[in-house]
This record gives sequence, C-alpha cells and structure tokens, in this order.
Amino acid sequence: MNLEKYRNQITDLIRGRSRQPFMLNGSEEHAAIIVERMFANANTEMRILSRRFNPTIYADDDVLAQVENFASNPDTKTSIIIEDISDESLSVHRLANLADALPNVEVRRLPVDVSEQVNFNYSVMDKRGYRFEDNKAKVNAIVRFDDPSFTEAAADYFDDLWEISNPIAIPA
Amino acid sequence: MSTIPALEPLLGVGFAVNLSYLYIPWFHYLQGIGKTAKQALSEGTDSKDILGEYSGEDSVNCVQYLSSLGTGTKGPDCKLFDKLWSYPLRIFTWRVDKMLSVISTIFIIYMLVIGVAHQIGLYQSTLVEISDNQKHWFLHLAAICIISPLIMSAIALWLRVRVKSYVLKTVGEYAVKEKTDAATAFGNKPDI
Repeated sequence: MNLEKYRNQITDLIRGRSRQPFMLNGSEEHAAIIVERMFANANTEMRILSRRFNPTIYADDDVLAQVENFASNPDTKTSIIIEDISDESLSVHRLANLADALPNVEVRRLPVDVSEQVNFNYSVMDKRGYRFEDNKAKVNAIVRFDDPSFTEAAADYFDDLWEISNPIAIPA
Repeated sequence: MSTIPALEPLLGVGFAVNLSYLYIPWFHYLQGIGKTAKQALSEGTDSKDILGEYSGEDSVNCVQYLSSLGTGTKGPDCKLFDKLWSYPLRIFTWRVDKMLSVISTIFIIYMLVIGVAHQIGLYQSTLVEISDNQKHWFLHLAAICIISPLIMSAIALWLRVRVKSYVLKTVGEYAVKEKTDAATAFGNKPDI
C-alpha cells in the first residue's frame, strides 16, 4: 500500500475516523509509520517496550523528527525500555543518541531475568491506544485506539517495568 | 427483402458495447474485483502478508486468492464453494465474460457484413431466407449480444460488494484473534 495513504489511515484510526477500529501490522516500514503517527498525535506520554529497538522502526527519519517535535514540549515524557540490544548497537542508534540529548526522553534496560519472562512488546500513546506484538520475536502487531481498559493496563504494567529497569548511559 | 439491414442500428450498438467491454479498462472486472479485495484488506491491515501468520486457513487463502485476481499472479487455492457468489465469480475467473463478448463481437461483425452485402446486392442467398419464426431469434440473439456486457457489469458490481464484505469480515475475525492473542500474552505477564 502507498505509505502516504497508510499514514493517513493511521491518523484516521487514532482519531476514531477509520472504518475498521484496528490495524493489523505485519511489516517494519509500516510499524515505523504507526510509531511516527503515535508520536505525532500523543499529548503527554509515550511508552515503548522494545526487545531489539529495531532501527528500521525507531531510527526512521520521520520517527526521529516526530520524537524531537514531541519532546520539544517540556510537559511531555517519552519512556523507552529496551531488552536485547548490545551497547555497540546502542551507540550508533539514532533514537538512543537523540534520547541522550533530550531531557524528557529516557531509555532504560529491562533486567534479563524479567525480559526472559515477558513475551510481548508494545507501545502506548498517552493512555489512548497501543501497538501490541503478542510475540516479541515477530513484527506482527495489532494497533487499537478504542480499547481503554487494555491500554490503561498496558500503560500501568509498563510503569511497573520502568521502575525495575536500569537507566543506561548511551556509549559514546 | 432481407431483414438483416434493419438490425444494423441495434448491431452497431452491440458492436460498440462489446468492443468497449473487451478493451476499456473500466470493464476489466476481474482486476476490479481483485482491487476491491486489496482495498478492503488495506482498511484493516498494512499488507496481505499480515495474514500470512494464518496461511493455510481457508478464509486467509481466500482473501489472498481474491486479492491476487487480475494481477497475473496465482493466489493460493481456496474453497469458496459455500458462498453463493463463488459461482458467478467463475464467470470472470474462467474468462467466460470475455469469451462471450468475443463471440458476440464476431457474430455482430458477421451480421453487419452480411447486412451491408445485402444492401448493396451481394450474397443475397446468405441468410436471406429468414422465416418470420426465425426473425425473432436473430433479434433476440442481437439483443443478448448487447445486453450481456450490461448483465456482466451488474454481476461484477454485486460481486465487488460481496468480496469487499467477505474480506472485511475475514480481516475482522483475525483482528479479534489478534486481540485475544494480545490479551492472552498480556495475561501471562510476569508479576513485578
């Protein structure tokens, strides 16, 4: 599908204007658009739990631009928990480096023993919607913005994970 | 006097309609049905591959099969036999509509040529002996040649509605499965 059309479709989904109340996501380039649209439409908080912190998704030019734009508002907060990514990869990861330069974007690492038990990954936009991968080894995800109870539970669980995750210094 | 020249205006219309049916892209209904399936799929997924996780399941095969119609690539086999609309769909997948149109066009050209020949006094013996009983058959045949592309258009329109509804329903079912999988995975989260 035309990516620009897809971008509009995700915007419609976020704003409750789409015919289907969900989007099934199966490719990295489309996942990047979803994340970018979430940042573009978020009001106060973005939460991201990502195993590999896949650069195709999270270091995409448009995503970085929206993260920067979102973070330019000091009342916003972006929390990113990563799991299985080496320091070497992190040192050249553009979003990790951007986070290092922005006070309200923080990256933490989930302890390995917890990471091994968490089989899913997800992103939560405010407490309004989510992109959820039920198997973190795959990119397949469901995106919804009409499921407040699940969204809130996911956000609250993220906050619990955040508390036990370790702050990291981005290697130079 | 030959009655064939009297049919010429009708045959002319039939010729134009059938030629349009064969060559104007708007009438390429197989592609249209495939495009409708793809558009419906894109309303709930980013690509047909998202359903690949469930490939092998008949409804997914059918969605992929329908999306491949008119693209020149062969989609997976699927069993749509429980759907009423799967039968008229074969009119398009087996190219029966195009064959009918080609036959109609050939018949019309033949009739037009004979009609002109009769008008200028040639081949008077060819088809000249049409009895009163036979006249209406030729008229009906000519009418069918004109109407058949219009009937095909109506069938194709109905099929597009059915195909869209089928794809949206199937994608919706898999979204429910994905949502259930997400809830299950989240339900199995470790306590912190």
